[in-house]
Amino acid sequence: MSGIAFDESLILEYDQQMTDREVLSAMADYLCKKGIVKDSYRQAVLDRETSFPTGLKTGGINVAIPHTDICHVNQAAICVAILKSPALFQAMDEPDHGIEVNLVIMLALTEAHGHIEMLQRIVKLIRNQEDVKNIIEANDMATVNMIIKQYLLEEQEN
Amino acid sequence: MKKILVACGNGIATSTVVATKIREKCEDNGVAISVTQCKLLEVESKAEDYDLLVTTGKFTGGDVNIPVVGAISLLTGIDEEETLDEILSYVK
Repeated sequence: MSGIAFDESLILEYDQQMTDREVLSAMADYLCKKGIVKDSYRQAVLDRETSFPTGLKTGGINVAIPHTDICHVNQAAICVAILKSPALFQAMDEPDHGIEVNLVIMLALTEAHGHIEMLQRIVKLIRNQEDVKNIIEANDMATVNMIIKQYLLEEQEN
Repeated sequence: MKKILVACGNGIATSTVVATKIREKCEDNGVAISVTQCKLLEVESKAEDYDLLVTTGKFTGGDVNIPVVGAISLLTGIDEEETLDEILSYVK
């Protein structure tokens, strides 16, 4: 996955109790401040989450994968938020049902097609709950950076 | 040949992942199918031309007269094989 920005500066950690919308807004504002997304991204990602929620129940640590249309993005990037207190996100398959999410992987992509490969990579990560746990419990950003890069960005053999 | 409609929020990302897994499963079992992807919002107008609807998000777009299978398991891996077997049972 070339051309997609990710480094330790795109790993956020929130200790306080927050709602899903507060988490999404904080992440979107951060990306906007860095010039990665346009002003319109925040509202677009909030609206999309309302219409089509992205919480995934994994059987272990639950994950949300908010994203929206590519027209709101300047530079392709991934932003990861670790929630020390889980936030309630609506489940993708049961929008009336809130699930506790500890890891948010926000996608800011510039090619619609890019969502597919990225999603396949995220699926691999969330099925390996041991590494999701390693991300959540990591004490240093370098570890998180390494695991995320390994799953989501490095060239992979088929 | 049975026709499957796979729908997700935008008709791009999660539906592609699910469609790929359905194609692989059917191929492994020697069942010929055709798979079409669309947005959840388009389902109601398109469903009548298909034999089975598979969705990642919850389908609330109205009444359809074909069987509906929720396939979030193909993303999360929980009960994935059961879901694939269920899909296969409709298109054999």
